[in-house]
Amino acid sequence: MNKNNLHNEGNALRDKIAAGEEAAFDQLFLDMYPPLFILTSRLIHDESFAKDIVSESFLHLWENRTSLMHVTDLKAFLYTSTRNRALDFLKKRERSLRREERAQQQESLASPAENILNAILDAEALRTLYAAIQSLPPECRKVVQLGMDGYSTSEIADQLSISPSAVSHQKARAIRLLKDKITVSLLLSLLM
Amino acid sequence: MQQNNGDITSNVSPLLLRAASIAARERMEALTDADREWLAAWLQENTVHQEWLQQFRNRRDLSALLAEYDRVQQLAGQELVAFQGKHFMPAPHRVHYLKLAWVRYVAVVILLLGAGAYLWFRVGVRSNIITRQSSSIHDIVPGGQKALLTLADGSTIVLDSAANGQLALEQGSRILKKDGQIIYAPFSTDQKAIAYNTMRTPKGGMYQLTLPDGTRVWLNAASAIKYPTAFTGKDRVVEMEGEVYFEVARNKQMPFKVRMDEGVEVEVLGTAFNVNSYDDEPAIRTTLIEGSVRVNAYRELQMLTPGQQSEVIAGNKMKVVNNADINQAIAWKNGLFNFNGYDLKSVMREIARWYDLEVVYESDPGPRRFRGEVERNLTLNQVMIVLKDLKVNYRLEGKMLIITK
Repeated sequence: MNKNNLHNEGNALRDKIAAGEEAAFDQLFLDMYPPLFILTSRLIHDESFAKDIVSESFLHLWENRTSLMHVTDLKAFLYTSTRNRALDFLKKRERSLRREERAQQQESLASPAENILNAILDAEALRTLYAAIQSLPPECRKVVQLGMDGYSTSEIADQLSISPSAVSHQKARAIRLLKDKITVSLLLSLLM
Repeated sequence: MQQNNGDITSNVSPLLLRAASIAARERMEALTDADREWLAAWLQENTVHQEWLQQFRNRRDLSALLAEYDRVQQLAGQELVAFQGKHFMPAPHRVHYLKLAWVRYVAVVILLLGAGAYLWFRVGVRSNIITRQSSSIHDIVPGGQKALLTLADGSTIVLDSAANGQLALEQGSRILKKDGQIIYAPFSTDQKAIAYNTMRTPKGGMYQLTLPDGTRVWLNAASAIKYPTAFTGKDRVVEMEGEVYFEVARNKQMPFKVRMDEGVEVEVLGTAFNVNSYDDEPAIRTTLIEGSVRVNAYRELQMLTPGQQSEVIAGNKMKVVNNADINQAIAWKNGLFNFNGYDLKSVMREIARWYDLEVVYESDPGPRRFRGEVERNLTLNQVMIVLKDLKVNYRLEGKMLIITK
């Protein structure tokens, strides 16, 4: 696989968005909304504000689409912008809480830097897993998912009422499919 | 690959995202040698990386997290529609044109009929005559081809964003996507297990579906249909909500049955008909276009002949209307609103479903009735301009349409 080609294709999405193509933006939105929402809810513990924050990130990207040429990685750009908005939100909320309860010692609501980093890593890992699993045929999908939850081949066979050799077969098939097809698409999205 | 991990003011590095993706694939046992090397180098960078990966490798709750992710993926679809409504102007903005061509394209005829004034109008916008106008008027784009498909294992596919081609294999059928429609192509007839799939459209969405027996189905906005991925046994049973138009493939040996929550069932042999069963409509209306159907509601059976419409009002008897307005019943499928004989509240219920709105009345809209057809591909403001000339005043606040005095 030629990396440069992949890189060019990845940038193609960015360039389409920069050119104002709504379909390209929709694709990015559906791909990146879930991890950004999961990250934000984890940082601020409020789903309704999380929705607003993630939408603002996408709006910011869309409104500044003409200058996206300077952005090398759209995903990293969105993670950064969403994280910053979430942290701003926490700062503001903390300030207003302090004002309200000046006498009380307020515990900081902001997460330590390490937790933020972990939250970003988890969100992106989950995005990758979801995309990969969705791409598998349904019979493979269950085997892979149970395998990830730590079940052994024989336990999976019991749960799905199929033979252990069928489980191994589906597992091998999933791995082959993932390696062939998914690696390419993952690389693509990585370089997006 | 130096990264400022502890510094929350720095930008998120693409390398961090790459590490997360590789770690995810490691859990699926699908790593290449290059991935392994890369990950090892990344781990050498600092202990924060090592701690995270250790934790991620030991996670036993990935299925639960993926289920949660799936929920958020649905949310993303809804939020995208909301986002488009708020921030995307339909690029060729047609309001300007409509106003200029008002005299030519909109005829308003007022007929007096009994106590109520009937108003007639028809709006057609030729898409090749478009004037571009940059504008920041708050407007809402019309609905389009949007739907979610839920497979037997509970996973869901967002059809508006899915690529054309084979989406999945289910018991006995391949699921194929062509622009704006889904086709179930049967590949095996001896199926023991029966799997059910569900197609659901949001407000502002419609979609077309071909079932494994060749029956064609159109879903209007905010509707759903549940069906087996292969028809076996002595009949073909599907369940529906909202509004669906059916063209049933003929098969005398296997009657086709449509069931609704309310205990109403329509049984057919091979025919075309429309069922409107929205919760906010006063009756469940089945309109027969051709062939014959039998409507079964509250232990009452009623055969319909083409052109007849049955109305079932909750808990009440069935009523049959002869010479029903067929064009009106299936206008939605042909890309039109048909408001003939509607009062304002009926008009607004259809608009609310297509533009994903809540409608609020500042005062009682009265019994005035409307006549006319409007294309469903207009933006909300374009439709409302027509209504405004019929003395329907309104203002739009976000997703709430307020009918003023």
